[in-house]
Amino acid sequence: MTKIHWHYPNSLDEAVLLLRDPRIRAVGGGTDLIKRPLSTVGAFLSLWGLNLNAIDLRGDTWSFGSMCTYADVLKVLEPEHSGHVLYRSLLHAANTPCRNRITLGGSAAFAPRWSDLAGPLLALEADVHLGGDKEETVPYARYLQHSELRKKALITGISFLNFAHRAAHYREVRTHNDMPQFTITVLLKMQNSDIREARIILVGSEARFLRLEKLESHLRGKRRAQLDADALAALVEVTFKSRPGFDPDYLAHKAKTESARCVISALESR
Amino acid sequence: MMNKKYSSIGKDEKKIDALALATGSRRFVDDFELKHCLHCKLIYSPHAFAEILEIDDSAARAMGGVVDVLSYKNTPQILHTSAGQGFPEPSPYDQYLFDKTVRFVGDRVAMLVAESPVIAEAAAKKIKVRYRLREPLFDPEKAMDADAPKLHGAECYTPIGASYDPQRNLAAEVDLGFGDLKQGESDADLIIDKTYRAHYGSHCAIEPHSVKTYFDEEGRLVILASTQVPFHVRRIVSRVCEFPIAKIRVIKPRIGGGFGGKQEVLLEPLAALVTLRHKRPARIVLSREEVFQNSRTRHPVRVRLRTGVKKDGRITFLEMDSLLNSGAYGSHALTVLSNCGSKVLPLLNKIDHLHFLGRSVYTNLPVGGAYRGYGATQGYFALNQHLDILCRELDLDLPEYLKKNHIREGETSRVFEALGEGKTGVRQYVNSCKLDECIDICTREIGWYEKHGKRIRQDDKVRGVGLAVAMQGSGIPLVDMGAASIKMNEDGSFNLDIGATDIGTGSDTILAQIAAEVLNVDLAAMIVLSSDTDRTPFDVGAYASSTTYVSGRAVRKCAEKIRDQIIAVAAEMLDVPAGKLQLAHATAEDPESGKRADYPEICRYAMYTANQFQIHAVASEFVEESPPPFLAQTVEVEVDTRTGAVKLLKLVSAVDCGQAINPRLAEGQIEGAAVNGISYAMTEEYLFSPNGSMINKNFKNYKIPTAADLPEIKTFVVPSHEPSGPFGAKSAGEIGINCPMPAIANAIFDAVGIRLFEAPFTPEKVYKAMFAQKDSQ
Amino acid sequence: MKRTLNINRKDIELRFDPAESLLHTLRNHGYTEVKSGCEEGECGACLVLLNGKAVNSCLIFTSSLNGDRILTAAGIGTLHEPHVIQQAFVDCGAVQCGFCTPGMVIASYALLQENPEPTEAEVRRALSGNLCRCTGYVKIVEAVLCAAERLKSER
Ligand SMILES: Cc1cc2nc3c(=O)[nH]c(=O)nc-3n(C[C@H](O)[C@H](O)[C@H](O)COP(=O)(O)OP(=O)(O)OC[C@H]3O[C@@H](n4cnc5c(N)ncnc54)[C@H](O)[C@@H]3O)c2cc1C
Ligand code: FES
Ligand code: FES
Repeated sequence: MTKIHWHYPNSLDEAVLLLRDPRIRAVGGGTDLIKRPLSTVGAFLSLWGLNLNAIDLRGDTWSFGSMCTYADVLKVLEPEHSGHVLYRSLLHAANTPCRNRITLGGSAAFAPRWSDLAGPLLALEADVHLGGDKEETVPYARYLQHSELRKKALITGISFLNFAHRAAHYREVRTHNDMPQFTITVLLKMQNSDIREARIILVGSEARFLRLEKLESHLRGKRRAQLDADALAALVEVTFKSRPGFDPDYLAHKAKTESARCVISALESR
Repeated sequence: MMNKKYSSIGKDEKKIDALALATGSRRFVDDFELKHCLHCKLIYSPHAFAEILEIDDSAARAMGGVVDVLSYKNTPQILHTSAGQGFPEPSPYDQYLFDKTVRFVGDRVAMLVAESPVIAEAAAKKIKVRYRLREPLFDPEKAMDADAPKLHGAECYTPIGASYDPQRNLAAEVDLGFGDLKQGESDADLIIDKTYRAHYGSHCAIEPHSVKTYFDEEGRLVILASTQVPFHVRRIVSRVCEFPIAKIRVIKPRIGGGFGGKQEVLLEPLAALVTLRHKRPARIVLSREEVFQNSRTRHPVRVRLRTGVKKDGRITFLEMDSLLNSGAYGSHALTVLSNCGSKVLPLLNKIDHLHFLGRSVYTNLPVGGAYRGYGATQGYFALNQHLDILCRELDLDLPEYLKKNHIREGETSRVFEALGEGKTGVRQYVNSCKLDECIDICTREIGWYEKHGKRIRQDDKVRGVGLAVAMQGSGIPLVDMGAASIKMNEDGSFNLDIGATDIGTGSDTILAQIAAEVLNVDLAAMIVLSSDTDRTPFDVGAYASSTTYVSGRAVRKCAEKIRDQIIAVAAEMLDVPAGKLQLAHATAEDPESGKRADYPEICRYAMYTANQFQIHAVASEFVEESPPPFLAQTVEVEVDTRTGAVKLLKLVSAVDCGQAINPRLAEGQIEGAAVNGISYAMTEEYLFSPNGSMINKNFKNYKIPTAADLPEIKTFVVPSHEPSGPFGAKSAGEIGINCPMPAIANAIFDAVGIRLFEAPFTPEKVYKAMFAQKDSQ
Repeated sequence: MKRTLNINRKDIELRFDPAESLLHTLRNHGYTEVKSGCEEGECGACLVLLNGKAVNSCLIFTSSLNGDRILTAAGIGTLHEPHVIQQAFVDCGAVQCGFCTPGMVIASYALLQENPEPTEAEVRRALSGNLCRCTGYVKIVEAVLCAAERLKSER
């Protein structure tokens, strides 16, 4: 028998209290945890009894409980919101059965190089809601930067504003069932056929979560006819660390080319 | 396509075990429950080349639930090969179950035996091993250098006396030819000299290698194995575990794919030893990681082809120099090497001056083995690109060129006779070859003449088409043997017991179709039992594309004996001369008198009425030739000129496998092999760290395609008839894997004018090649 | 640990290690139609329906479940009463070695529950968590489309 204890808290407070012990790990979908060695884990805490799976569009805000799975999100957005950046991003994430299990909270907390969620959340400028002594809401961008937060806090939900946009999501994969080397998420707010604001996130480069600000500011006020793929690609500054089987220079070239294409495909999307 | 002459042959019968598999009731090795079973966990070397100085298992043994630790210290030291081949094996004897020297990262060091998998896993981590490191050898090109590290000692040998020299790391050598290369050179207008590299690959059968062993009620050792070669397992286990064949029974349940990976006797002796030592059941199931690194792989082969050509395309000489990286041991090193020539070169049988030099060398890398295509895949990668280059140089049309130059019905090749499976071959004539038809179908379906050389462009994407052709064999002539036994039951059903090993290919079904055809019964009347060494006659096993042709002939012969017995009984029963009786729909009938008896009546008569005997027969067949199936494949690709990403848009296969006994199953073989070939060409590759360990040993990092990754795939089974085959059949199991890689390479050239001599064709590789070319212009 | 789950419409008490995957628990309790091919969520051989959704049982801690409904390939149909999908796999030649088949059947079942009339592209996407090394998927995709047709005419 493995000596590992399981906690099944019934309330958030109880969960938060338990999670102060650094050796207790919250289990969302468990899709990553189950593959990890157990040596550093003293006990698991199941989040399944906490009713953290509500989905709500109230006023101008979308909110998702942290235990919503990728598939839950897709289902809610379909079909009216199938142009939504989150829909575009999660549609091909992981594979079909995994999407039924990966939770927003687990994915947002783990935020791996291959995350298909981090890009859209950053592009949406989403907030994460943290359960804790004092409940807290922080921008996801800040959450990612603060390892302290990431270690301690329990994500209870995610929210973002509901606004019209055009979007595209690119995954650098070898097969459909592959964890992307990087992803590019493009979100465009439009004013007629002009780009009013662009948010472009590259996940997976050396910087892990990179906002392509030069490209974003270049796009402001532009329309399709004014865009040239080569010029757009040239505005992307990105570097990769070497990883087995991939040349960092090539990945950078690819990321530039695909960023430009992704912008154009977002513009042309409906 | 249904042939009117036949009732079962050529019919898309449903695979007889399919429903039981789809509902999960048919079992695979690990699905059998054994009470009080011991669980084993292998411990592997982290070093590419080292001596084991000490194995300290005290901490592990002290753990509760640990039963044993096996290593070279307490296991039989018998040199053997793990290659599951006929006796004596053509592969060198260069392995022990456990050795004091480890020769690749992943070589066996010890095996933990415990009460549960969890304990075995935990205890395995407590084994401490001290090594003395030796300088490893990774580059096959340097293996034969005088100062190269030597992997194996002088005690190693080949039981068939093939050319073998461990002092030069030479696991096998083949050197043959005819004609006069000098003459060929001086006749040539142009010499084309190129080098191609086929890379490592993993079989990726979805069922990992598994074995379970136990003693039955009578103290006989039962081995449940996921193997392609049950009878070879029995023989080899008996030898290396020093336990009599008479006391071993090997049972092959359902097998979750093999592709050559399970033609290797790796785990069976280890589990057997545990059961022998502890008188308890034992289980070994490899993890995916172990399958990648510690089982067997496709041998990488570097092929240099030199050809002289006349302006009209006639080849004046051909020289093939193949260097096969055998890895740490010589499993299949000689035979895969031989096939790289013998299954490839006969295709061009009009060459007067030819030389094949093949060498298999040891390196401190993962071990090669049998893999669908078996050397031919590696050889055809070279040849098909080479001919594309040749045609482009001379401005010839590749399809027409191939049609003009390939071996044809009634023809032979001197290579057949010169080169066999590790020894001289067998002279044979090709009596069925529909390769022209295959080429025509493939070029038509892909739109060759509308697209080839046109570089159709849309934005950044350019399209190209490519063609490749191949032949294979159908069993190993003068070596392979299959056997069948049939007995009749009183309701007119038949037990068909066959040694042939269905590993998912459907051979149980097609062999039953052959028997049903001869006996004029529905397929449902055949009760098939395959591959149980106690219950079925011998068969070499599932390899070398032999089952349909070799085992199929045995089944046909056996069924004919039964038919004769049925007619004899019916003749006695109905009192008509045997010669007048005809069989139709499970009935013997004399058309003249109208006298008739159905099978149940006949069998009941034989069993209960007069001159009682069991209608029963055994037959075996060994074959004197190996009629090649033929294949053409075309592909269309789209290359992204900015990123180098290659998208496969369509693949067409057309195969001449003789009479397809079951066209749907034959198609399935070609489709599965083609996709395996696509995958090998596009994404599969072994990545190694500087110390020789495989980095990407899981499906997360070693990518094979899903349904969503594949383009339209069309498969045509071309009507054909092989006179020597059972009902005209040849083989279809391996050939489909030979062409995707060269066809895609040729298509990439057609699109963007770059020649890739090594796969996989990753975006990065294509991009770099495109830019290198731009720079040099 | 002990827990009761509803497996193939029966309440079953399971005993398992706290860190065990549902895959191992199910196999240890005789549900060997659930196969193990990689244990990392890549191959789909271990698929089961968990409360109606296809999931990789190798990625789920049994300990995180309680009272949930599980359906395996044998719970969808049996040798004597096969499901339309299983029969379509047989009829279309989509079963070679059959090791991937129970998982494929589960993925197809989940798809057709949600989307009774899928396009070929939708079928391929739905099966993108299932690896098959034998068939090249041609006949598997055919089988799912054929099953959809047959289910439609049954309705
Ligand atoms: C085969 C495969 C392919 C995949 N491919 C992709 C892909 O392409 N794109 C993609 O985006 N993802 C992909 N993933 C998912 C990714 O790798 C992780 O497995 C997943 O994000 C983890 O989510 P989970 O809900 O299962 O979290 P868990 O495994 O339960 O937990 C992961 C980590 O997050 C912590 N955690 C869990 N929930 C919370 C919470 N609410 N608050 C705070 N911390 C929490 C845990 O303690 C743990 O440290 C893939 C996974 C697999 C198995
Ligand atoms: S065993 Fe679960 S996905 Fe492979
Ligand atoms: S049928 Fe063998 S893996 Fe799919």
